[in-house]
Amino acid sequence: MIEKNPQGEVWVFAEQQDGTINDVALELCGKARELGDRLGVKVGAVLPGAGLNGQAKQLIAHGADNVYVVDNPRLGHYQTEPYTKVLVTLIEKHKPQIVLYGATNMGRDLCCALPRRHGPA
Amino acid sequence: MDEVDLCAKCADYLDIPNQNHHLEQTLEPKHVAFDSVVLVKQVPDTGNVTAEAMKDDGTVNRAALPAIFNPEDLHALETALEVRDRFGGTVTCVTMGPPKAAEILRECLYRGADRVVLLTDRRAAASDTLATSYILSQAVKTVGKYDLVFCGRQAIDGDTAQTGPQAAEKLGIPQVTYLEEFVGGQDGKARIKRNIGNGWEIVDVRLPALVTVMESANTPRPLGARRMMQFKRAQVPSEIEGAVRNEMADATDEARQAEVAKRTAALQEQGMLLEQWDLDDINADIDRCGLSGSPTKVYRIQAIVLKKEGHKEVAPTADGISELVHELVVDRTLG
Repeated sequence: MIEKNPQGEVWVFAEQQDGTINDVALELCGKARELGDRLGVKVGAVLPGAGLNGQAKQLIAHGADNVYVVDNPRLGHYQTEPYTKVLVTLIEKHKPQIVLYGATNMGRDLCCALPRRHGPA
Repeated sequence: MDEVDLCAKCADYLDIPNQNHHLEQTLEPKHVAFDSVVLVKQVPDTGNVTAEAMKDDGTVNRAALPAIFNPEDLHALETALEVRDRFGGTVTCVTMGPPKAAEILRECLYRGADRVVLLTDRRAAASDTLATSYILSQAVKTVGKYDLVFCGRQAIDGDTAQTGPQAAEKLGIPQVTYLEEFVGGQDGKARIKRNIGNGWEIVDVRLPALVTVMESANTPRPLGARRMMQFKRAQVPSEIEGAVRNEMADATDEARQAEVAKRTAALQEQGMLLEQWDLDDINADIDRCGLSGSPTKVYRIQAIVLKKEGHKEVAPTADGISELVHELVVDRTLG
């Protein structure tokens, strides 16, 4: 389990399909903004995908301070393993203290791979 | 750029020219059999949660609600049974719970399961999804060789939909969530149609794999009358002990022990003694179980009740309707 990082950002998994960010992810940016302000830390959005263009700005408009864009053809269509790998790598590198996922099919499929590698969901 | 072949049957892209990628056509059923483990749960009937059902520490007082077979686990069991009917193999059902959970194991037998196991241990009580998925993964490993692990998408008491995928992670196997249809299978691989929220996709997955099943996937078969007659007397050791304790409350310990031994031997001889494991039987690390292994605790459960604020009359004219639609759109009820 990694140690909790009190300077860690509050993150949102920016779920997208064919370039359109899911509404839930945008709503979560708002919530993350609240949490970040209360904790005194920044808000980050993680955006894996392929051929991305302009979505980062939309996430910033909805409350994110930083957007971590991971653009690769292999991420064009959601699959558990590659997306998990992206999240795991970023979480280990930047150590956010909270990561929010929408309770969508994709969000629930993805978030469960992480606890074993990082601690509780 | 090379010409890309399209499948003549479904117009999907072929990775290899002339490949036949419809697994069901390449199946030779007699060579393929799948051993499945189905994770099932007895849950409080959450259609009827009241304040009395919640304890102070945030866990559910299960004794206050009637207990049922978690609905989506029934669909998971049905998928496993259909896979067995089609390809051959075995279906083993495992549940983690108090001794009362043996009731749903009997129901698994009535529907056609080959083997059932109760995992029961006081030290597992109040486990959250992290602890539960750990315990279940240990139990699956103890069951032995398996090709597929099936579970319902989510349980109606927690609604997290996390326990299945977390168990897959602990078993180190791939997961396919939201199964709508088990399309086909061959040695070492399965093809599954899954729901992705606004549509579906078909995925191939290497086995062994864990699959969560949606309610829409199938209609569970009815209980088999003959199997009910056959298995209604089947019990786990804890049930035998409990019954003897109640019936012989005034007897000595030795007398009770002798009676338990006698009934156990009789059931065993008839093949009616169901398997029961505790956390030691599955080599579980106790610190990762129960409350101590559960970083998350339920703070509050709320049933949201929508109250009517009043009513409004809409004129049955074109203008009236269009005004109504406009209001619903602005309100984001529509569109």
